[in-house]
Amino acid sequence: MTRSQAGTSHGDRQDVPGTQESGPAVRRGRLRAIVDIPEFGVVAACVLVFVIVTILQPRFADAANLQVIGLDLSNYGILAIGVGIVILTSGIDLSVGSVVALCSMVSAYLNVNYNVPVGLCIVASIVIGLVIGYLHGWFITRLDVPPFAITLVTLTAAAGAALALTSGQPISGVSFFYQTLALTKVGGIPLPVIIFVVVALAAWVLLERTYIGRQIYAVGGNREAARLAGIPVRRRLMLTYIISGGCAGLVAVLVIGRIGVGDPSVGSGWELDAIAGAVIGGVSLYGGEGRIVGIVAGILLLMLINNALIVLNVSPFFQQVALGLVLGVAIVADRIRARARGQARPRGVPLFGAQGSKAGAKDTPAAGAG
Amino acid sequence: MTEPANGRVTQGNAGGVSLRRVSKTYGLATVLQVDELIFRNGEVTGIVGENGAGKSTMLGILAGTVTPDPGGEVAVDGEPVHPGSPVASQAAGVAMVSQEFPLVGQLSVAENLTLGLRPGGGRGFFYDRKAVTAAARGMLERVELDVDPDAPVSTLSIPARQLLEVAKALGREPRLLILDEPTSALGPVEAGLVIRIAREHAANGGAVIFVGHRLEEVREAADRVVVLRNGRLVADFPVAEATDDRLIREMVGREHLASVTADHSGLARPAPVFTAEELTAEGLGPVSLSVSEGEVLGVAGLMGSGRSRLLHTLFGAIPATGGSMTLTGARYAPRSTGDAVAVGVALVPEDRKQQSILAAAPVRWNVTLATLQKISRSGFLFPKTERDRAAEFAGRTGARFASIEQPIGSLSGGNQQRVIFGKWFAAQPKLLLLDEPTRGVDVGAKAEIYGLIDEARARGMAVIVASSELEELFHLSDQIVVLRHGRIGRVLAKDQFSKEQVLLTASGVKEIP
Repeated sequence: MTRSQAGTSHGDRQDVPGTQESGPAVRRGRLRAIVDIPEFGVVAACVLVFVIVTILQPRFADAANLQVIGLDLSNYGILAIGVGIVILTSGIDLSVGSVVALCSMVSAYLNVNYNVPVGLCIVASIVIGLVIGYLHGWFITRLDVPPFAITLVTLTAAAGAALALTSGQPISGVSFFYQTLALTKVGGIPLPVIIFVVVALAAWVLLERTYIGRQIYAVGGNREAARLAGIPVRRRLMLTYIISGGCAGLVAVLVIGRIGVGDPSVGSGWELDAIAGAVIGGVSLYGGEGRIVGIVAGILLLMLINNALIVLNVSPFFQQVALGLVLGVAIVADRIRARARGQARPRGVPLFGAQGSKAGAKDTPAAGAG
Repeated sequence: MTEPANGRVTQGNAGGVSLRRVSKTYGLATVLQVDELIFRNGEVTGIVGENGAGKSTMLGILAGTVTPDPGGEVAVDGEPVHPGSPVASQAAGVAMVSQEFPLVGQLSVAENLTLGLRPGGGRGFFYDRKAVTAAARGMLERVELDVDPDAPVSTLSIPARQLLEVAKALGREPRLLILDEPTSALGPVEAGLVIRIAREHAANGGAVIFVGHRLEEVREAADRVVVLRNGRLVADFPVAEATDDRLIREMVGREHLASVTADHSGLARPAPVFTAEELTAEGLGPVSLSVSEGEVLGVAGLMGSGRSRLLHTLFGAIPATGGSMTLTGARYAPRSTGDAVAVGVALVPEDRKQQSILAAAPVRWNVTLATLQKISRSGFLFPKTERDRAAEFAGRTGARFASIEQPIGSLSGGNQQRVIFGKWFAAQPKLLLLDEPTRGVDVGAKAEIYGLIDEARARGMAVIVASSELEELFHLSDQIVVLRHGRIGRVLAKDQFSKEQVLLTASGVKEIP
């Protein structure tokens, strides 16, 4: 699936006028246009996995199993959207799994030990996520701490804090409202799936239909160009980390409901699945490229594969291997895509080389991550 | 990509590095074309020329960082060198001291000096710290640089790093030592030292290329001076004949001595749109200037004189440390680029790829980038509004593309630049700052960009344009300020425009009151 992805974006570039390759490309016309959509590969892979596994094991497509997939999807999917928006700026947020643990513990703790009304506990969970995101953004934009480093700090510290709160004991006896939230079904669709869809739509609107979203892309695509176009780069970066933290705080609430207790060990390693989902969905780790539809398809593909391996009775250990392989293919495809793009320029458009002697001589790659 | 220069018979002139029928073309622009040039052993060859004369390209070809057009030949002592390969050039004995210092800041002086070498290699796999330090000491002595070999390079001053680069190049025992403006970062004492090193290297039988913009230094270092103009070798004479006047005459070209410029004179000067008083920033100023509505102010100066720095300070991209500015009479003190854009200041930066465009994003995004907030309603972007705006402003500049959804990176340099102009025209600025607006565009596009600048002028924008091409400045400007070391060395009115005047001020050959 990811092969075709790499192939398509190469084709993207060759549609430029003045390229030599015209004959076969024209004939492919309509099909080409569909295949050219960057997310085509991952969406096609989702369909393919679903169809094949359903043929192998019809139980896979049962409503009950689909609801399980939906619940997984809502947890990981909301995280992937938050982290994906961060990655759009060529940043990273490694902390989300631990933030889920910490937020859910604090929320449950307030609810059980201090009898705080559940509504406030839910708000508290989200607010803690937002505040952690704000702190990440502050360190990254004010002190130039690398995103990897500062969120690694939180990854460790928040997981530890979640455990320390109750010396590692789960908190039971939380308000039933958590469960209501997580287990209610509307027309057979679990409420968390609907929440996920709302979050995804909101993220889509932000990125595709607001000027702030476009500026986030610009900051990720070329930070210096964004700055010199008058875009407040720091504020946009800050916002992405706040969104990511808030998403983790929201997931924490759903998680309490799903397992019925505040569990300090929950969320461990989830950040990796979330990042993997975004990257599989075509979000470039170098920033500036990727869309919500891709992130959703990417995380859905992961959930489908995970669940398929369970339904097909594959050993849990191989599930990890499978996740790793899918991610590996996606990352390699990302590089192939970027490379195809870089080479397509001078080859496809001969005049493009006219960059003057100075620029040509020191044609060093942009400090994209800087 | 590269073509091996094998199977070609080389004749004579074994003693030195020779270029034969070497050229370099970017698109339609030929930036270097040299039929034959030999850097003889035992001789220091000085190279002078204006910015853009082809010096850097030539040095790049010698060092292997620029791949020449197929067909030419670079040979060291008669042996052809594989073109476009830094490794092959180094193996053939070419060592270059460049203006930028490719040093690894975290590593020590000794480690940097021996990077890629294996001093005391007898001990095989292991890193021989003692041998490295000893070798480094030897190299440092040759440039009389008194620093601790174990100190990290990041702790050294800029002049010390420049000397370290020289030591590193010398440590390779090169047959051709290239010094590319080696003294621009140095004070007079160190500059003298570098000149002595160049002389010694030649005396020991090596070949040396010395590029400089301080003419007296070139004269002091060189046995022979070569002048490049527009990518061609226009003069080659012994140093005794290389007077200031003659060098500048050759650099500029006889035909341009009488400057001809477009006629924008006769305009009554309205009240200034923009003024700067005693403006300072790091490495800049104090600078005072003013521009009026519909006026173009040119900024000339050598590389490193602060042209870009000045524009970026006016745009709020570099914080000003002192002085004051006004825009249309009101105080103007941008704390960020956003402030500048909000009150109507625009900057087209020098490096399109790194500073201007979102290469992978469509033309549409690039046109609306600076006006996103303006065209959105309560924060929301409406696709149709955006498409219309993008088509309107990209179209107005005459940029050619198949669709506004096409990635801007797939357009030619000239068309990219037009899109960038469209981006700023959309913002309707009062002050338009242009940094090398025609860099990397072909001749036809250049004329069209001049047309856009005229349009900006006609729309009443005040324009400040910095350029290393004097003809461009003469053509566009109503007035030119010549920068030198971040300060205004001279202000030239339209009837005073001449390349000689600018170069003399910019290079500080003569101080002009």
